[in-house]
Amino acid sequence: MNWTFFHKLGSPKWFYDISGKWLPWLQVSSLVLILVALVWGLAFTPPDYLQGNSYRIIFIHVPASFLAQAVYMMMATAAAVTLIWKIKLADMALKVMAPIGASFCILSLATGAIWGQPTWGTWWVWDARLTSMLILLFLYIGIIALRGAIHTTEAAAKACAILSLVGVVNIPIIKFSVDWWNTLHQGATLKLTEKPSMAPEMLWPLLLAILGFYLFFTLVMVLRLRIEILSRERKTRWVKELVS
Amino acid sequence: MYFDSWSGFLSMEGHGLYVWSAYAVAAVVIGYNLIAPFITKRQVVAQVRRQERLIKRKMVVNDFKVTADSGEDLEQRFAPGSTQRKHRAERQEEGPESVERSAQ
Amino acid sequence: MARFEKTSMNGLSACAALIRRDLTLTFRSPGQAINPMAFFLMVATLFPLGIAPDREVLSELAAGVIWIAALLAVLLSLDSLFKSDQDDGALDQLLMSPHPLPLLVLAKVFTHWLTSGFCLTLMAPLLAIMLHLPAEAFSALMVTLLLGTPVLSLAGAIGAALTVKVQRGGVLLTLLSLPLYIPVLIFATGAVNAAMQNMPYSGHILWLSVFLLLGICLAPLAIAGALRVINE
Repeated sequence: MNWTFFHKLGSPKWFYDISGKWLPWLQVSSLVLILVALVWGLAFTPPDYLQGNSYRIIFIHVPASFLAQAVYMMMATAAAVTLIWKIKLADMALKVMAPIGASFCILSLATGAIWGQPTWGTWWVWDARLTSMLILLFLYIGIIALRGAIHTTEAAAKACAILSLVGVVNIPIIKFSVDWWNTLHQGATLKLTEKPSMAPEMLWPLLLAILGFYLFFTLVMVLRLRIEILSRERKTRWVKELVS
Repeated sequence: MYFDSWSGFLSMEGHGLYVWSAYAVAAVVIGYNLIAPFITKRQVVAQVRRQERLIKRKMVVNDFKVTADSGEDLEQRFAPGSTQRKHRAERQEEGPESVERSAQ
Repeated sequence: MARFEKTSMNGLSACAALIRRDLTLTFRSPGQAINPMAFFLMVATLFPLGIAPDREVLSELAAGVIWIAALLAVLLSLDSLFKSDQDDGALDQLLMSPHPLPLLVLAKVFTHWLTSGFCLTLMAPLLAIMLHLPAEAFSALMVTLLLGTPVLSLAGAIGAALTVKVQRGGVLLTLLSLPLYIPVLIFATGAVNAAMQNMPYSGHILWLSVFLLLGICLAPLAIAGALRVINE
């Protein structure tokens, strides 16, 4: 198998050059998709027969929750690549993904709380899903804090990689124990009723929104990654020529 | 279009406050993610340019910043036979005990 | 020095030597072991003062209070687990030793548990009486503490290894470790609460044992990796 593409992908300069060509496509597609999906969801879909209009929060809540979880998995993958192949670009990705994932985690929690008020009559419920999302936010905060505390780039990279992998081993354990705890403490209290397969006129804008949020995440990650490349490669000639 | 009027769209049959505040939070998060890279980029570019300027004025040697205004001081310091080197040579002649004493 | 030992010592006797050394150090300055126990007692005292001295309220809260106090006390003592060795150079010796680092690290964590978690377990009945924990839940409390505190030491040691070179890393260590402690807290207090209602709690105990086994197998690898990475 030809592995050259893999090593090429690890070259910061190559990535900087190629990602410059992706940027305009990502910008246009993500913003247009999100705009279309949200306007569709806000104005054109019929209200839910149980929850009325408050269900329209779903079009940002669900994509944000998906992203918050997926970004952590991507970080764990980047961490494994950092530790095994020692590819610099993977560590840069690990670094820039953490704040983006944390911001979507906060968005998911905030919209969940706002949605909870009209639906359950309370801002916060110690529901299993909410609690695991909160713990996921703690994991993000830990990684960001560790990165800030270690000043050597090399050591910070590997330390964060190890912490991400420890976290990813723990996520299923945490999720399982929170589910267990929830059934112990509160049996039949407020729970988001299992969705009876969504009506297609609601499902389509939701799928569009999820796709749009993923593209938006890619856009922000590429933007941040390019800056991180400039910052770390600032001693090389190509960065100096590019900047001046 | 599901709603018949603009005010109906805003009020969402009583749920307007919740729906719109959730979308406002989403706008803030999306805005943060879009703006933050550009602020960092400005800092990084300024950093690279400052470093370039300093190197041109011979003030940075391997990340080691010298506080003098001109490069003369630097050349003096690293010139052969400078005071520092003499000092080190003297210490070596005196043997390890004196180095330990002076370190204390 | 390390080379000489290779001929005369195998991994296990190296571990025994390490445990003996750490225990000697602890006996020379017993404050390191006593302070977390005093902390444990004081935190548990704050709860009746802060909430209510009622017997019913306290007995309901007792399991959670004792467990949270124990968790915080272990965290407090973890800060110095690798840091004191880092300061006096013993950690470098450990890293250069020819014996497998995960094994040595496991020995260190075991000593840490002996001087923190195990002592806390011995003290727990006193707190349980103070907080009016029902008598039928005592055995459950002791078993969960015996099984759970080693997991706290193991999981927290990962954070301690990652923050070994960070100045004033105590808060950071707390941030890194607490999410990992949540499963232990859930199952341990669940078991004690089940015992209070005269319900079977063997399921909880089995899960705690699973966590302990997982911790013994995986945590030393992560701790050793972290120590190597940070000291490169």
